[in-house]
Amino acid sequence: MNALSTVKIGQPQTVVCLRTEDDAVLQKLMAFGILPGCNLVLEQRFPSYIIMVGRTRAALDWETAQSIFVESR
Amino acid sequence: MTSQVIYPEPIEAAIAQLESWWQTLGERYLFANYSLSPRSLALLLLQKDPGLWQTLQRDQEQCRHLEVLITVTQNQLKQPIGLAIANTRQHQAHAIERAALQETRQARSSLTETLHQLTVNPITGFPILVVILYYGVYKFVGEFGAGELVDHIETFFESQINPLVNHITAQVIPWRPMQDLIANDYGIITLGIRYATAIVLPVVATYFLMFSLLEDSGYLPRLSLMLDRLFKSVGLSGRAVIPMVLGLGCDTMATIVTRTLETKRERLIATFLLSLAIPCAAQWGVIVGLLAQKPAALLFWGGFISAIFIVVGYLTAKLLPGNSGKFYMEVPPLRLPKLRNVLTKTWVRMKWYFLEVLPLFIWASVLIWVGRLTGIFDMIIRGIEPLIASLGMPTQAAPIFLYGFFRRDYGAAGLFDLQQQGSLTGNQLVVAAIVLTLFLPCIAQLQMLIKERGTKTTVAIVLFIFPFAFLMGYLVNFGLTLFGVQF
Repeated sequence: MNALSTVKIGQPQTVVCLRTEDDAVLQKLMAFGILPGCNLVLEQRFPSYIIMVGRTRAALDWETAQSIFVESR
Repeated sequence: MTSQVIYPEPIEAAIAQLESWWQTLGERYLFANYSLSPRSLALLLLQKDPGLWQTLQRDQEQCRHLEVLITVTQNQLKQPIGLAIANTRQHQAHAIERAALQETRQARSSLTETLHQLTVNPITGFPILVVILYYGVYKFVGEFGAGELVDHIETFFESQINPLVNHITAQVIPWRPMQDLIANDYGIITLGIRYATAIVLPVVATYFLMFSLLEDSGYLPRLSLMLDRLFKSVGLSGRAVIPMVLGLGCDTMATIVTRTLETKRERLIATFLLSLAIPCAAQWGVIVGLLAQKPAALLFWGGFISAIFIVVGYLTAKLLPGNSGKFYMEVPPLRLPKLRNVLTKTWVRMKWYFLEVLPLFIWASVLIWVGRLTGIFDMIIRGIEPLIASLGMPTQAAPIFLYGFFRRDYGAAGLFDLQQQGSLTGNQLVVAAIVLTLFLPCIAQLQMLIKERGTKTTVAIVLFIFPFAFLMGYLVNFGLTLFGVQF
């Protein structure tokens, strides 16, 4: 299990858990469909993290990407 | 046909218990005027929806009952209640999607995808960003909107409407001070209404048009994600890019737009930086006009103001308690903007902005009228003369700083005048430009600051900005003289 911020670009990942104390961040991630068990792909790391989850593309900062834990598929 | 979402057993049990309990409450049921179903209300309450919990506070017994229920439910689940609910909904949505959707071709066209990659890749994305800001904001809003359009409408006002208003007022009202309130140099119609229509309206119209175009094309989230790291250094997140870019058009409007930022801290830093270091279209229009003949001076001014933005922003972020706002944003696909959407959005925003700002301009005219009538303005001018002299400027520049705050064109015209008389050297122009930029943009922005951030915060901001602007002017003048730099 790795933080999303550390994984390889382009490799499909499955979300294992979300670790954040901030309820607003958790709500927002859930609204994006980033939930345990969902699949996503990290597309870019700089200047911001860009991920593709389902048909949604989202941009996150480093702190938020640190709170998403994933496993390679 | 869709079936009702079935949540994990402990959540379903909690919903059932809440629903039947509410039926026994009679008059004490707090959500009688809510149009949501009891099941939806129960789900929201189990997720501790802040609005509903506030209503619930009216009955402490119900609060306690619900807290116990939430604890019991939570203990039976392996994950937070909110997450369990979201997960169940996600599964249901996927099941519906699998049953209903048949994909026949690739969802995204390769052109859109290539454009997306170009706009977010740092190597190509930053040049694209600079080009968009240069042509979209500087050329279209700054030169065309704040320059040409403002010139035309102002000329029309000054040659057609103002003389007519002055004439009629002189005929109808015999008392000169009352005439001044409505007409002449600083009247409600000849200054307030003229300002709102001749300066604000063209700037706002061009700005909102460009903004709606960028918004409709899906570029704005990309702009935010490109600049998030830079903005983090000044305690803001990528979301604050939008009010900052708006501020380059009009700081008053941008101060309103800081409402979209998530935390109070972020809103405070953004309004502070807008007031201090983001010159509005009228300000940089004037400054670019003044310094255009001396590119080195223009570059120095730009560099100095950017440095102030970064250094003061960084220090404010360090001093204010709390962390920078988190950045997360959906990135929609790039699309060709729809003209109808763009025009509707521009029109609605212009109308809303104009109605919100018009009274402020009228009040500004009244304030100037009072200031001149009572002689307070003359007193202030005499008071700031020594300050102006300490900046290495001639004392006849003193009114520019006071009136420039109320009437930007007056301040600018005064500077132009002094420059044409040959009274100002290149260095003095740079110092004046720096002080005028760091100053609050105008009285309308000050009024909006009070409205948005409250009197206490506004007083603190003003008490910092006014001495700071003069101090920076003094230091720049001192430094330039010390190093023998002549622009």
